[in-house]
Amino acid sequence: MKKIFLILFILIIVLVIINLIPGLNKGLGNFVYKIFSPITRLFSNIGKGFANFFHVLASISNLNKENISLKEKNTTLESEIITLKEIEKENDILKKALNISKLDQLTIDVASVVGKDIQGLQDWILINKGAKQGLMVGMTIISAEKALVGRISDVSESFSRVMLINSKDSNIAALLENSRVEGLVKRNEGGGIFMDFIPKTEKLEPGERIITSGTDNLYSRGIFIGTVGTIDLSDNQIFQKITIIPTVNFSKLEQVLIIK
Amino acid sequence: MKIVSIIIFVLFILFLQIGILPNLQIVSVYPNLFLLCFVGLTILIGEKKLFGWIIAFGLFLDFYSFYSIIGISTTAIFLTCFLAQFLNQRYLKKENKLSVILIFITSLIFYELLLLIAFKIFGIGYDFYPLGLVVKIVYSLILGLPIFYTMKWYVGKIK
Repeated sequence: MKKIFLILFILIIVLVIINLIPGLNKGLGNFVYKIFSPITRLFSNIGKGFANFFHVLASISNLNKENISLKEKNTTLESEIITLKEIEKENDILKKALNISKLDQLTIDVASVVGKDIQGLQDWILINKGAKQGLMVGMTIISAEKALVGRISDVSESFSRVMLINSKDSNIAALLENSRVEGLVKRNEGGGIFMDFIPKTEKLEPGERIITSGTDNLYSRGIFIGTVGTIDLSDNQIFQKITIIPTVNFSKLEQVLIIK
Repeated sequence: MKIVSIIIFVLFILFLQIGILPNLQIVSVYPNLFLLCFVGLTILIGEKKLFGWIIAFGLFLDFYSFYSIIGISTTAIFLTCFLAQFLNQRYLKKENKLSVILIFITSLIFYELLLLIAFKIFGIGYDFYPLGLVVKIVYSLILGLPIFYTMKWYVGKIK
């Protein structure tokens, strides 16, 4: 018994020393990641391969229906693209007139997801860029489809940790794109996300897009979060609760964009 | 031969934890196989023989989890294994399925509580919610018990 307490005591002393020496903690963390990130990435990719295989097997019966629905969606999107291209041209003309260049607005960098929480405790991912590449705490991370992923919460020399939008501490000021109603996007008990503080008087439709409103000064305005899923108008709550279908599949993220 | 089989076992658990389990989440929860393996091994071979492994894996988890304070997982796993060993020796009958289940449940709750307390003290965000813990316990038992009996079979074979 005495031996166990002695070992625990020595362990705590060593850990305190590691934590007290400035930079040692992050430096060692960076070293561990450099060694293990290729292994964890390989395991993660094999796992995704397995999951995709079984997902395809399970979804074969729905493929025909999905195909028809995608074709319809494609037609709608093509017409939207034509309209948007026209708007883009107009926008470019206006920007030139106002002397604003696109580069002045945002600098975007690409990073790969090299790890995630392996204890299943927190909702974060690890990306392979850090302070060396100019990354800082608070920078916004989006997916390749330009949908919101989260914010950088910790930075080491070559890696950064990104807290996802479905983490417990995440509160995002958001806006319903069509109805222009503002609310707060938070995590629910099941690990998904919902939009809170929407007055019951507002009539909303499932499928409406939800974007960041920018009023929290954490995320810029207009980043796509997801679409309205279910709407809960129960009498036991003051506001209506909207379940959000996130655009990003966090378990399948491979590459992300960093807004600098 | 012994060390090779240990490395293969560790890689297998790492593969399950990183590659497979994140794709099999239930209400955003999946088991912590590292903890279950250490608790299982503590029951089978005792904590003293595991000190080195506990510290090595605990530190790996700490660095990998990118906590601002290093040592939380290490200390939590160490104390959880100590509790598992204590329960196993003092109160529960060895090689009894119910005892193993009770030790697993107690260890899982104890580990989560230790992390919750440590994260509160050091101001680290931690997603703790009761439903998640219940799901985690049930899910962990479903996966942990076959792993435990596989380990038991292997330990019996090399003894």
